[in-house]
Amino acid sequence: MGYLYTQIARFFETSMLSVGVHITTSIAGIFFFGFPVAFSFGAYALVILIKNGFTLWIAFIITILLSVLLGLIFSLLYRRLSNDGFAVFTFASVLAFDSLIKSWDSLTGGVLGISGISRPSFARTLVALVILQGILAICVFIFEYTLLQSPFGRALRAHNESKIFLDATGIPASGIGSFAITLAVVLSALAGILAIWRIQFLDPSFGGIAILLQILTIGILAMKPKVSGLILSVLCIVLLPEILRFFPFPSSIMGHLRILFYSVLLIVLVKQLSTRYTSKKRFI
Amino acid sequence: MIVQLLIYSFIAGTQVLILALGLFTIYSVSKVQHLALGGIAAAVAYAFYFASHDAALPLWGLIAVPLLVAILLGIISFWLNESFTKRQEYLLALLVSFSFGVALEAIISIVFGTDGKSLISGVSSVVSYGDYQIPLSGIFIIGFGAICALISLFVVKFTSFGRTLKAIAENSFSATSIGINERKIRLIIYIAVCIVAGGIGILSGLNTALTPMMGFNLIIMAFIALLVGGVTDVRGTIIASYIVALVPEFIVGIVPNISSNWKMVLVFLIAFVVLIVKPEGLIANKQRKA
Amino acid sequence: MNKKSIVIAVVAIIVVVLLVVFGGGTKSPVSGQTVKIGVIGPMSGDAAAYGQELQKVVSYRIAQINAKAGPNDPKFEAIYEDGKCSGNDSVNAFQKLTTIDGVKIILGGFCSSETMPISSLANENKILIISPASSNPKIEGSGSFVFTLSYSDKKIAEDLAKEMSVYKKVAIITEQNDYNIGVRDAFLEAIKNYPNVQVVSNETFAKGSSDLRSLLEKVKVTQPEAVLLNPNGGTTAETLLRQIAEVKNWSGYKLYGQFSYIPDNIRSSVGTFTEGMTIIDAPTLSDPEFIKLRDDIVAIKGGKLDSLGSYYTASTLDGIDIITGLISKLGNDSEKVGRALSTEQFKGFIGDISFSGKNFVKLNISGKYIIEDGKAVLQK
Repeated sequence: MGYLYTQIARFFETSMLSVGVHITTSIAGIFFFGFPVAFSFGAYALVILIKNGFTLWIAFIITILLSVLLGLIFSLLYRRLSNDGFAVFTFASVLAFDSLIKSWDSLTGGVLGISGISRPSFARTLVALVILQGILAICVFIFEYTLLQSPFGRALRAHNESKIFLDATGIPASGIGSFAITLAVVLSALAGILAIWRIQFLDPSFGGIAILLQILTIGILAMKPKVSGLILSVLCIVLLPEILRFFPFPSSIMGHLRILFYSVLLIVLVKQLSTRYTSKKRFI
Repeated sequence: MIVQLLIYSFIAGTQVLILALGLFTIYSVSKVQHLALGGIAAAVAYAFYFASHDAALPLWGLIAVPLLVAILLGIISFWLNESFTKRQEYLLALLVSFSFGVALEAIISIVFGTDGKSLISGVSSVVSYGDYQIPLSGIFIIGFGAICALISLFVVKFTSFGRTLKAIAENSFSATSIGINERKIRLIIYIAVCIVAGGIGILSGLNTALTPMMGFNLIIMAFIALLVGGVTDVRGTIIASYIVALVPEFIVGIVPNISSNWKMVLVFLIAFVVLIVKPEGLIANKQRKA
Repeated sequence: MNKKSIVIAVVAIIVVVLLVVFGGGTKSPVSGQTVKIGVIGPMSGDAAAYGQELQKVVSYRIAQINAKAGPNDPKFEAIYEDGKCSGNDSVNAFQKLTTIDGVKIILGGFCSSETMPISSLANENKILIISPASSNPKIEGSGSFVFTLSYSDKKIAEDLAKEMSVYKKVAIITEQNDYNIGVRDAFLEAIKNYPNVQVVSNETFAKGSSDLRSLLEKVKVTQPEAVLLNPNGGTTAETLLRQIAEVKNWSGYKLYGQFSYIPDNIRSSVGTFTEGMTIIDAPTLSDPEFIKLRDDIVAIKGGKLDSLGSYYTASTLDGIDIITGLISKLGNDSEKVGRALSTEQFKGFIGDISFSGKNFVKLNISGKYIIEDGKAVLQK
C-alpha cells in the first residue's frame, strides 16, 4: 500500500501548493512563477533550523515567519515591476535559488543534500503523515472556500478584471496582490515542509521547473474560482502521469516524457480554456 | 587578467545582447515576452549538430536544415502567441511560450540525450595579441552581433518595413487603422528573430558545447538584461546585456572565495537591486498614461 | 457540475482505480520461482550513460544466471527504476520498487546522490541495498542494510593528495556535482596532511557549464604547479580540457585527474596536451575471465561500457552474483542476506570482497595511470 499512500501524500502536498497558484494566477490574474522557490525554501529553512538545535515547533514557527518575509520580498517586486516583468523575474528566481542552495554548501549541504531527516513524533509513519497532510489540506481548502466567499475573494476576482477599478473603489489593488502572493508563498512553504517529511531527504532537485509546470497546469485547469474544480484538477494532474509508469517506454526518456507531457498539456489547456474563462476585454 | 576577463565577458555579453535584442523586437511588435527563444536557439543548434555530425550533410545542408528548423519554430511561435496578442492576453502568451521552451528542451533531451555535444573536435583556434587571446568562435559571435546590429539599424532607419515596425511598436491600433497588416509583420519578425536566435545558438555551441539546457541559461540572462535595461529603449538593453555578463564575471574573477558557480546568484542580485531602485529599467522612455 | 468537471472527475476516478489495481495491493515478492531484484540507476538525466550501461550488464548477467539455474533454483528478474542521480527520484524509485513490485533487495543506487537518500528508508523498511558505484565517504555509517562495492572517494582523494604533495602550489577545478564535490572535500581534507602544499586555487563551476575560460584565467594567475581537474565524465570533462589547452602563455604545471579522464576519447580532442597527466582511479581489471565476459556483453548488448569502465562493470557483475548467490542459499530475506554480506567473504571480479561490518567494501588499492602516447597506462 506504500505506493498508494505516497500518491495520496503527493496529492495533498500538491493541493496546498495549488491553493497558492489558484489564488494568485487563476483568480487574481497574477503570474507568479516563484512557487518552487517557496516550496524549497520552506523545506530547507525547517531542516536547517532543526539541524542547528531548534525544537520542531520553534523551527516551524520561524520557518513560517521567514516564508512570510520571502512573500513580502516577492510582493515588493510585484509592486515595482510590470506584470510580465514580475513573471519573468520570479522565473529567474527559481534558477537563482537553485544555484544558491547548490553553492552555499556549508549551510544547505550543497549538491549532496541533507539526509537523515526524521519525521515529527506525531507523524512517524507514512500513514500518520498522510492523515496529517489530509487534515491540513482539508483545512486549507476550507480556508480558500471561505476566502473566496468573502469580500476579499471578490476583491481578488476584481483584481483580475481591472486593477484601476479596484483602486477606484478604495481597495488598494497592490495590497490585494501582495496579500495573495504572500499567502501563496506561505502555503508553498508549508507544502514543502510536508513533502520533506515524506521524502526525508533534501537536495536541490526538491523544487524545480517540473513542479512549476505541474502547478501552473493545475492553475490553468482550475481557472474558475471554485474549490471543487481545483481539487479535481489536482487529482487529475498529479495522478495522470503516473499511468505513464505502466507503459513500456524506455526508462531513459521517462523523466523527459513527463516534462513534455506537462508542457504540451499546459499549452493545450491555455489555448483551449483561456477564451472561456478569462475576462473579456473591451476594445475601443 | 582584467583585460582578458573583459574580452571573455564581452563575448558572453554579445551572446546575451543578440538574444535580448530578439526579445526586445518581439516585445515591441507583440508585447509578448517570448521565453521559448532560448529553447529555439538550442533546437536550431542541435539541428546544425544533426546536419553536420549525424547526417554529415554538405555545406548546403548545414545551412538549410537549421534554417528550416528556425523558420518552422518561428511559425509555431507565431501561431501559439498570435491569438493572445490579439486578445491582449500577454501573460497567457508568456505561459504558452514558457511551456513551448520547456517542451523543446524535453524533445532535445529525448532525441539527443542529455550529455553535451561538441560541435567541433580539437582545440578551438585562438587569435593572440601579446598576453591576450580571443577564441575564433568568440570573434564570430562579435562579428555576428555587429552584422545583426547593422542590418537591424539599416532596416529600421532606411526602409519602409522599418518604419512600419516602429509604427506598430508605437501604437498597433493606429497602425492597423491605416492599413498595415500587423499579422504579417509579426510573422516575419518571429521568423527573423528565431533565425538570429538559432545563429547565436550555433555560435555558442561552437564557442563551448551544446547541452539541452543551454537555451534556458542564455534566455534568462537575456530576459534579465531586458528588464534591467528597460523594455522601451534599446539602448538600455544594450548596456544591461554587458552589465549582466561583465559584473558577475569580474566579481567571480577578482574575489578569491567566490567561484563561478555563484554567477547566477550574482546576476539575480544585481538585477534585484537595479529593479527595486529603477523598476522601469536603466533607460526608459517616458510614456504618457491616460 | 458542468461538463468539464464531469470529464475531469471521470478521468480522476479512472486514474485512482488504475493506481489501486496496479499499485495498491501488496504483491508477493516471490512469484513462483522468480525473485525480483530492484535496480536503481540514472536511466535518464545527465548521467544516463552510466544507467544505460548498468542496465546492459545487469540484464546480461541475470539472463546468464537464469540460463544456468537448475529446476529447483530460483530465477531472477531485474526491475529497473530511474533514480536520475537525484534524491527525490531515487526515493520515488525506492518506494515504487518496494511497495508495488515487492522488492526486498536492490542493486543501487548508482550515484551517491541516489544511495544516500534511500539509506535511512532501507534501514527503516529492512530493504537491503547494494550499490555498485556509490563512493561518497558519508555512506560509511549508513546502517546495516546499506553496502557499496565502490571505492570511497576518500581513498581516491588521499592518493591524489599524496601524488600532488611534491608540489608547493596546487589548484583544483571541480564541477558542482555530487561525486566531484565528494572528491573535492576529501582532497582538501587530505592535502592538509602535507603542510608544505598550498591550495592556491579552489574553483567550482556549475554542473554542465560549458564556458570555463574566465575561471581558467583566474586559476592561471595563481600560477599553480599542479592542477587537479575534477569534472564529471563526458562532454564537460572534454570541454574543460579543450579550454585549458586553448590558454596561451600558461605552462609549467602538471595535470592530475580522476576517472573522467580515463576514456581515451575524452583526451583525444587535445592531441598530446595530456601527455604525462596522472590519473587516480580504480585499477583496470585484467582478469581474462572478466575481459571475456565484458566483451561478450558488448557483443551481445551492443554499444560500449566505457562510462562504467572496467571496475564498475566488474562491481556490478559482482553485486548481481553476490545477491543472486545469497538469495539462492538463504531465500529472499533481506535480513539474512544482509547479515551474510556483513560477515562472509566472497570472491569477485574486483578481488576478495568483504565488508566486515562496514558499509564500504574492504579495498586498499587504487590505480595510478599516466598518459603515455595518448593511452592511460596503469602503473605497477
